[in-house]
Amino acid sequence: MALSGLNLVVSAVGFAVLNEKLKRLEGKLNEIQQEVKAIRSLLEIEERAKLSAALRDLLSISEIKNSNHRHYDTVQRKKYIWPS
Amino acid sequence: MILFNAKNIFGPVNLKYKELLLGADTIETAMAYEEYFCLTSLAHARCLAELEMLDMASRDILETQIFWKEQSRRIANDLLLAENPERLLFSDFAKDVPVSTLAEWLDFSYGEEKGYSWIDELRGKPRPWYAEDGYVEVGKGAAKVTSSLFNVASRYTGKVIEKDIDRQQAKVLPSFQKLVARNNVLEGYVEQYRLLEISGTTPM
Repeated sequence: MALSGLNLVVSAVGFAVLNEKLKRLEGKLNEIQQEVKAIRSLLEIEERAKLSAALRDLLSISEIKNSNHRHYDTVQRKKYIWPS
Repeated sequence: MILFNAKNIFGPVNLKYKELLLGADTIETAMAYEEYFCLTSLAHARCLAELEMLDMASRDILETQIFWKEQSRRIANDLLLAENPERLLFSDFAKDVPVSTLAEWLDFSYGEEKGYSWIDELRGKPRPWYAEDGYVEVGKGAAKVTSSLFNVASRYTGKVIEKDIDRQQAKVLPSFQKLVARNNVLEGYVEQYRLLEISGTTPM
C-alpha cells in the first residue's frame, strides 16, 4: 500500500516535470513562430519593393534622354520582370 | 554601368524602407527606418543625377521629401509629442529644450508657423496652479505623503518617473532634433537638385 502510494507520488512528480518542460518547449515554439512570421513578412516586403522599383523605372523609361541609358535600363528591368 | 547597377540596387531597398517606415509604430524602429529611407533615397537620386537624368533626380528627391515630411510629422505627433506635449514646458526639460527650440519643433510637428504662440497654447493645457481640489500634480502629491504605505508607493512612482525621464532624454529629444535638422537638410537637397536641373549640370 505504502509502496503504491510512493509510486503514485513519483509518477505525479514525473508528470509535473514533464509538463513544465512541455510548457517551456511551447514557449520556445511560439517565439520561433513569431520570428518566422516576421522574416516572411520582410521577404514579402522585399519582393514587393523589387517589383515596384522595376515598374516605377519602366514607367519613366521614356523620360531618359540618352538612348544607351534607356536601352540598358529597359534590358535590366526586363530581366527582373521576365527572367529568361 | 556601375551607376546603373547602384541605382537598381538602391531603388528596391529604398522602397522596402519606405514601406517599413509607413508601418513603424515605435520610436526606435521609426527612427531606424527613417534613417535608412533617407540614405537610400539620397543615393538613388544622386545616381540619377550622375546619369544625367536630372529631371528624374529632381522629381525623385521632391517625392522623397514629401513622403518623409508626412511620415516625420506622424512620428513627431504620435510617438514623440504623444498625448502630453505640455510636459515640455516643465523644469525637466528647461535645460535641454529652450523655448526657441520648442517653438521650432512644434512648427515642424504641426506644420504651422506659429512660433512662440505655441507656448501660449501649451500653457493652457496643464492643471491650474490654484486648482480647487488642491492637487496640483498627482506625482508631487504622492511624494509628499509621509505614511509608510504611501512612502512605498511614492518610491515606486519615483522609479517609474525616473525611467520615463531617461527615455525622454535618451530617445525623444534626440529624435526630435534629428527630424527637424533633417527637414532643413532635405529642403536644401530639393533646392540643389532643382538648380542642377535648371542649369543642366551633374553634381560631379
